[in-house]
This record gives sequence, structure tokens and C-alpha cells, in this order.
Amino acid sequence: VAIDFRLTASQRELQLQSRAFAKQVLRPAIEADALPTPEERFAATKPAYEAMVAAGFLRKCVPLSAGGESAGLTDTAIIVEEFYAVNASVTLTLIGTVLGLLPLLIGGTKEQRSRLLPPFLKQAGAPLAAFCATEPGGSANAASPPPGEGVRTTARFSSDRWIIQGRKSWVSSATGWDRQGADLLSVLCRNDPDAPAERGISIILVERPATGLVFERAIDSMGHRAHLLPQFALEGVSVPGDNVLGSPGGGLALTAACFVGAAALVGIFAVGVMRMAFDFVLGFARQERRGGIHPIIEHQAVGYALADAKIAMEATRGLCWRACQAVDMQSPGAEELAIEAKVFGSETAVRVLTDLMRVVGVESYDHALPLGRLLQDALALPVFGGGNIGVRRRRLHAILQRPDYDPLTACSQVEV
Amino acid sequence: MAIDFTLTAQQRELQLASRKFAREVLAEASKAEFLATPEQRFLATRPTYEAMVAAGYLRKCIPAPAGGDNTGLLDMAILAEEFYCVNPSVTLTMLGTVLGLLPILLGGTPDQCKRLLVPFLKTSGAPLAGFCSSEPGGSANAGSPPPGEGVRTAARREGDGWLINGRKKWVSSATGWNREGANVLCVVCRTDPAAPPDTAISIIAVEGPVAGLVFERAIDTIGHRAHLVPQFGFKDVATPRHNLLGQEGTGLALTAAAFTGTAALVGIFGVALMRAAFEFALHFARTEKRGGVHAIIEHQAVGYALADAKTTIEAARYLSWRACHALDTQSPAAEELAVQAKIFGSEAAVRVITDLMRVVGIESYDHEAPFARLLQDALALPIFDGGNMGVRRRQLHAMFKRSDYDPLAASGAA
Repeated sequence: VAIDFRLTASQRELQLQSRAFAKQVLRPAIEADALPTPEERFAATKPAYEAMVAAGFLRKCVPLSAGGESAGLTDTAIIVEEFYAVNASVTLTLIGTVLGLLPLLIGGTKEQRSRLLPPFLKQAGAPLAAFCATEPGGSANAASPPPGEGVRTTARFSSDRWIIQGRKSWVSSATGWDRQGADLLSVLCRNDPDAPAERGISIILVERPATGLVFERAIDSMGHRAHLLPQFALEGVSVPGDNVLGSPGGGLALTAACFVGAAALVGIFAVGVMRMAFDFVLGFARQERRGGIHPIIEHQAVGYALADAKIAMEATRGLCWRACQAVDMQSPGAEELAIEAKVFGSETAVRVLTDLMRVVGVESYDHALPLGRLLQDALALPVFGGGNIGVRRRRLHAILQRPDYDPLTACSQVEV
Repeated sequence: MAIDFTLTAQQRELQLASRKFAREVLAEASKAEFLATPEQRFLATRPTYEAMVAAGYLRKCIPAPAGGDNTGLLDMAILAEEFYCVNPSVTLTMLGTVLGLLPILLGGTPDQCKRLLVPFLKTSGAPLAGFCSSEPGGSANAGSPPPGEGVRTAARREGDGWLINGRKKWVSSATGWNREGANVLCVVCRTDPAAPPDTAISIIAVEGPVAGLVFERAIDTIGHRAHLVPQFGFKDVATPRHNLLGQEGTGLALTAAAFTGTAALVGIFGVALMRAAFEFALHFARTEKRGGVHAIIEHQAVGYALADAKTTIEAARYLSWRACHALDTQSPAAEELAVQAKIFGSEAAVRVITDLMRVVGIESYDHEAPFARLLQDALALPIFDGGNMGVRRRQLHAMFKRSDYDPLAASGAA
């Protein structure tokens, strides 16, 4: 098809269905945010997540080729935009699970997929998967040569099994509903202590129950208050030899591939929060007079602030959709576009939300209004899924340095 | 005196003493922020606030002619920077009390000062004052002519006093430690229902405990988690006639004067929060390798981000100092500079802290690191004490429209 931004009839249906589900199920579940501890908050979202799975939304994020119903990342983007701003915590539990499955979906064999995917294809229960990349002390230099430590979690091959040792942090849902571990963990670990990073690191799958998984703490995060971000250890966790994904040593490349699609979705998270903030502030500006004669939308400064916010939001959505389509088409510009969608969308969201707070004024500082929550959620976007400073360096800067880099590649894909 | 940015020996002493007090007393009180409700959090800070009063810091914010120890806004800026970067909630309780006293200090008669300031000049207890300006529904257009509602709280003469009715919101510490009201409330209210706003609105002092004060709720704010910002009503609150401050009907001018003084301090609040974020980020960048070979400060992107942050901090600090100095010397440029310090410092703080979070990366999103709290506190600065959108319009925009406005007046070179 030619350049076209219209939704298909089935995408429109998916959008409306997602919107209705968000309103009926995800919005009430936001009450979990008020509970005192991170684990209580996460536990309280389980019924909403179960409802999400039962309604088929997890299946809708797994590709058709793997037994799910996803027709592509653009469709996932449509769901996510409807879900994320209404309830960022539960939506991230869903998308974190999809990210946890991506190494299996991208790098797994048919046998591995048919063995490990079934719990995620049922429309029952609250199955969780997690991509265990980040470690305490940070993973922005996972590919560092010595003396940089790079990936510190190790896997040793012994009697046909991998024995995993190390610590991880910031992994969505990794320790599961009961501290015993998610149903499936994709663990990034060093399987060859002597090889260079490009050949010494692998992704190995750990199934629940993971004996040796030691819960350390649930991070009290600034936003996504009802999402579980644990810090934990893997102490001699033993898994079958055939749980390694792809050829051993290809873990960093597989990680990079997984984060391309995820990056495009982070841009859509940003669109979601901006959209909800904009709707709220537009309504406020139209109705509120703040003691004056006219609704404040009559003020030029308010009108211009709203205009700039809406422009930023539309630019982000267009870029993200383009990135999703490029990922779906396996376009050569896909990586560049996805990273740009993540960097641009995430930083735009933080700026637009703070600007919109100023339109509303001090009322926006009250948690009775949604802007505080939305901004606290949005502040994660530039620093999670790969922090923007590291992502610019490792992904964009690296692409731009290649001698064969062509700036027009991103916009020059021709219909076949 | 010539242009000079050196501290006097006394200012340096004040700075070091404040820094020590902040470290030894205020830091500990941050624990209050983790309690469940806004009122529990506020109550938990009371011993710290009492210690602040006992150490004479409240007196240091009250001018010498009124019986205090204050030697100027610049000195308050030095003190505020040290306190605010460690504990914004309790610091705001003290400076909110100072703001609550400003209409008395600026507009009160010697008799009113003498009578109403007594509890605040002692170095004991936990005296609170609140400047009751904002109302539910907003007060960005307090000076609106009809049909705009402007100030909705009304005072009518009743016998030898005033009866006040209305509702207020976002007033620091207004309902006090026990919901019965601060020691003194300075209430912006309409004293003449028929007159235009410039002659209809007055500020009337109400002494606590306040019969007729109706506590509605303590706002659950994004930041300043252990500071009390209530919503409440006045139901036939009676106060003596001689508690009207300044000339009847000049309340809006007195309000503007009070907020101009605090605007310069809001710029310093921004400096304080940026400074705390910078110190953490610099240390992190110097010590953390994040799995790589070098400390991350070796990365050019990190170095430049830190450079831009530090540049902004220094610019905000000197603009704020300049504004304080202009107020201390009653320069004609004081209003312009104070408002600019508020707008620049507040918006810079939000931007700089978010930029520094990106240097640290995901660890900054954990409440074990200070960024979340610092940013949650900073988010108030552009919207409290007069939201920046309204302040730009009512103060800077209005000033620039005056035919005699001279841009060089602010630099003293007109």
C-alpha cells in the first residue's frame, strides 16, 4: 500500500474494543496505586491483568506465526495507546510480559516455542514473562570489553544443564505474583567468560518454579506505582541445556533485536499519556474561568500552549506508527526509526506534561487530578527500556558512524 | 557599594550554620514523607519545625523593626537555599508562615505588628501563619471586574468587627496542627461588594483558634509530601475591626507586594533543588561505571549535560540574589526581577532535574535515589505562589505594556 495513515476496519474495531476495556476494567484498577507497598499494589492489580488475559489482549500481542493473534506491531500500538494512559502499571505488566517472550519469539526454535508458549496463548490465568537484562550497577555497557564488567550474570554448562548465577534489577514482573518467579524468565547472561561480548553472552530461558531465585526487594518507583520492578538474585538456578536461545553467544544481538520493537512502543506510551493529559487540560481550559470573565482558553498563552502540546503529540504518533510499520516490514530503517520514536516520544511527553501542568496551575499539583500520576509515569519513559543517553550512544550514534549510513534510508522504502 | 557577589563574614557564618542545622535536624525529618496521609506526614514534622523555631530561624526571617533578627531578603535567600535543598516540606512550613505574616509586616500598623507578631518572635512552640489568598476555582483573576467573580470570600461589618464567609485552598499550614487554624491567618476578602476590585478587596487578620473554620481536606500533593496544604471554609468567622490590615480596599496591592517578596525566594528554591540533584548526579557520574571501562563522567554526553545543568544553576542563583538585593534596596526594578527569578528558577529546576535523571538513568526512578522527591518538589515551583502563566500575564506582560517601561531599569543603567 502507498503512504496511508488510515486505520483498517479491523484496526478501528480493535481501537474501540481496547478503549472500552480500558474504561471498564483498567480505570477502576488504578485504585491499587493508593496501597502502601509496591508488592501490595502489584498484587491488587492481578484481577485486572487476569481480565486482560481473559479478554485475549495477551494473545493479541503474540504473532500469528507463533499461535497468537497479532497482525503486527502497529496493531499492538493501537491497543497500547488506549491502555497505557488509563493504567500504565497494568499495561506495563502486559507489555513487559510480551518483552519477556520476545527472545523466544525472535530467537527460539519451533520446539522451544511449542514447549514454552502455551501458558501465554490460553485466555486464562495471569501468566507473566520477563526479560532479565538490567543488573544492579547498571547495564548501559553490557557489551563492554574488559576491564569493563559488562554482563555480570553468568551461566556455566554442567552435565547437560546451565547453572545461572548473578543478580538482576528493574525487570518487570520478574519475581512473579508470589516472589517465586514469573512463568518464564529470559535471562541475559555470560556463558563464556573468555569470549568477547559479541560471542560470550546468551539468553537462557528459566521456567517457573525457579529454585534459587532470591527476591531482594520491590523497588518503590516514582511512577507505575502498581507495577512490580524487583531486584533479585539467581543463585545456582539450574535449567536444561536446550533452554538456550539461538546459537550460544548471540545474546547481545538478540537483546538488541527485542528492544527495537519495544522502543517503538515506548513512543506510543508517550502518546498515550500526552493524549490523556491533553484531553484533561483542554476540558479544564474550556470550562474553568479561575475567577475571571472568560474560560481560560480565551487567553492567548493558554491557546498557544495547547497548540504546541497537540503538535508534539501528533508528531510523536506519526513517528511511532512509522517505526512500527518499519519493524513490521523489516525495513532497513526500522532500528533507527524505533529508537528515534523512543527518544523523541519519551522526552516530548515529559516536556508536554510539565507544560500542560502550567496551564492548569496549582490544581495540577493535587493527586485528585490525573496530571501528577501521568507525569510520574511519563518520567520513566526516557530512562527505562534503555535510558535515552545510552540508547543515543549505543544505537543512534553507532548507526550514524557507519560509513554506509544513508540518512534517506528511513524514508525511502519502496512498495513491493 | 559596587557590584559584588562576595558574602560578608556574617553571611558566610549564616550559610554554614544553616547548612549544619539542615544536615543535623532537617535531613532526619524527611522520613515523615513516607507516612500514609498528608496530615500524618505534616504532624510528624512538628518536632523539626519546633527545633527550627527554637534555633531562632523564624526570628531571622522577621525584620528588625518588627522585633525580629532579619537583616534582609538576601540573607533569607542564603538560609533558604541551605534548608530547602534538604527538606522542602518543613522549610515551606516556615517560609509559608513568613508569607502569612507579610501582610502584617508590610501593611500593618505598629500596634497590629506588636499585637499579632508576639507568638512568632518567641523561640519556642510551633507558631504558624497562613496567607489565605487562593480559593477553590482558582485566583489567577482575583482582580477581575464583573462578571468575573474575582475574590469570592467576603467580609461584612457586624457590630464592632468583621464576619468572614468563603472558602480557601492551597494555603500553607492554614488549618494548623489540629485543624483549628494557624496562629494567624491573613485573609484576602471582599469588603465592599459593589466597588471595583482595586478598592473592594482587603486583607483581614484572623487569630487562631478560629471558630467557624471548617476543615475540608488536606490535599494529597505530588511533592512537599510532609507540608500541609488544606482546603477549608470560613463560616461566619468573627474578627475585630482593628484586624483589617492597611487601608480598607487595598488588599490586592498588598497581596501583590507580599508575593513579590516571596517570588525571589522561589527562585532560590529552584536553585536549592537543582543543587541537590547536581551533587548526586556528579558523584554518580564520577563513581559509577555501569558495567563499562570508565566512570560515566568520561562520556562526552554526560559531561555536557552536567555542564549545562551547572550553568543553569549559577544563572538562577545570581538572578535570584539580584532580585533579593533589589527588594532589599527598594529598587524600582525589584518587581520585574523578583518575578523573573521566580519564573526562570522554577522552570529551570524542573528541566535541569529531568535532564540529570537521564544522566543517572533508570536508578533515578527509584525512591532510594533523591531525584523523584526533588522533582516532585520542584514541580510545585512553576505553579505555586502564583502560577507562572498568570504571573507572566499579570506582572511581566502588564509591566511591559506601560508606556514608561524601560528595559534597562533592571540593570540600574536606565
